[in-house]
Amino acid sequence: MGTVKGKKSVNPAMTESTVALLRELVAHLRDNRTELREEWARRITEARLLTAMTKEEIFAEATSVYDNYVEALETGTFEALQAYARNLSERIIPRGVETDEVVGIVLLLRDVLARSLFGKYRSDFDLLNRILDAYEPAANRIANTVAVGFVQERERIIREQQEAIRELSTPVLQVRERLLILPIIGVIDPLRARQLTEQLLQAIRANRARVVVIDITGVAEMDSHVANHLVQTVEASRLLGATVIVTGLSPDIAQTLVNIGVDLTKMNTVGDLQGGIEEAERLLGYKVVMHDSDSGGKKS
Amino acid sequence: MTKLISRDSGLEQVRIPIHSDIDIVSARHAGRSLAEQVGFSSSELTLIATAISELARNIIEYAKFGEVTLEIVNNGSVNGVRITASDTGPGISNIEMAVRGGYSTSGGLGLGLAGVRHIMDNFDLQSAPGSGTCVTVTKWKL
Ligand SMILES: Nc1ncnc2c1ncn2[C@@H]1O[C@H](COP(=O)(O)OP(=O)(O)O)[C@@H](O)[C@H]1O
Ligand SMILES: [Mg+2]
Repeated sequence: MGTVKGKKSVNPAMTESTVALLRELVAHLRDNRTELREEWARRITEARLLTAMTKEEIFAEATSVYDNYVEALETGTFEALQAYARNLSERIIPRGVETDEVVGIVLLLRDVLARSLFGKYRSDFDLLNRILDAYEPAANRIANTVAVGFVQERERIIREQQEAIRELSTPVLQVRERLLILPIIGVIDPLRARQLTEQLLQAIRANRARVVVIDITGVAEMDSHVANHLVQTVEASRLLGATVIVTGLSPDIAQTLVNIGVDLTKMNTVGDLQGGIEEAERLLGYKVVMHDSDSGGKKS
Repeated sequence: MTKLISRDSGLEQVRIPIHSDIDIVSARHAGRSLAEQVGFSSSELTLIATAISELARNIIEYAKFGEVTLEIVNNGSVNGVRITASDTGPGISNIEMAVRGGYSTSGGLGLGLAGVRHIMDNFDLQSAPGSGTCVTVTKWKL
């Protein structure tokens, strides 16, 4: 009996006798599905795991996990379980379920099933040993698959949140008609540089801005890569019809960049933000506006 | 994470694993404070910090991860700061072009290595395709 009934083929690494043993234990787990599932859900509640979920929810998830678990044991393939673990994680992570809880429940299931196998085969010690030998590696791999799926999903969510925070943390400010300020704070990695540029270009278009002041006083590190991002942002803004003034570039940093060979001539730099805004106003011709009315709110 | 190791000579050494951009900032800070101890001027501190940025960023960009070691060194008459940036990444196939400048496999400016070479006093680059890269540079407090 080299094949297992069903659509999926077994893991080729398994010996035929392992396959036979797994079939035997899968049959046992199917026959006792109701009690084992209940026993497991009870142990989960007892251990105070998944406290963010109701009893009914726990039971519903326990049922799905149980069925996926048995299927993974039967087929030796983990794709379905992996997909389910991801899906489950996606649903329970927002509710505050922690990694140790997920690891905890899978280990509990492993133990509940192992105990039940123990109960069934204890009269035949040799068979019990062989059954457990077949069960353990498969069960460990299942626990591993579910835990890794959960952690990966968590990491994905954290990455997404980080991206969202980054986007929020650099507002493009409109200070006047046609004048935008982009204060950059923190670390500029390639991803963030791309986001900043996109945001700025969108804002330039939306506000039909003519001048942009990019303030880099708060940039944590400067080198040719960061300078290159900056130069590209300046160029792209220019293509959209906006002049860019860069402020907050210290003389030391400017000198170092020039020493390295970065061409800063395309960058219109002004010492500090205040000076940058004044220069921007000059470019926008605010003096002409003042001529028409003294109450323009502009200080001299 | 930063480890401070005191060596026999009493001179300091800091090792910083480089895995993400945040580590570049840590390495810069550590380099700055070592260089301050040596007595470098403010514009020299910026040079040294920038050299650290360039090398650490290359690690992230081309090798994904690696390590930067910063040390205070003495050549018998003067003190200096030595930066060693090493990784086990893909290595550099055309070292000559990479060091001459204006050559970039990432669409960058290609000014990092050439620039670091220019602003530091000693420059040494060991690299072979497939076996990683190690750049060692020193700035002496003259
Ligand atoms: N640590 C490294 N590992 C592999 N390749 C590197 C490394 N550092 C630099 N290089 C290669 O050398 C080239 C020049 O580097 P660099 O002068 O910093 O310019 P840029 O990073 O702008 O391309 C890079 O494009 C890359 O091909
Ligand atoms: Mg570089």
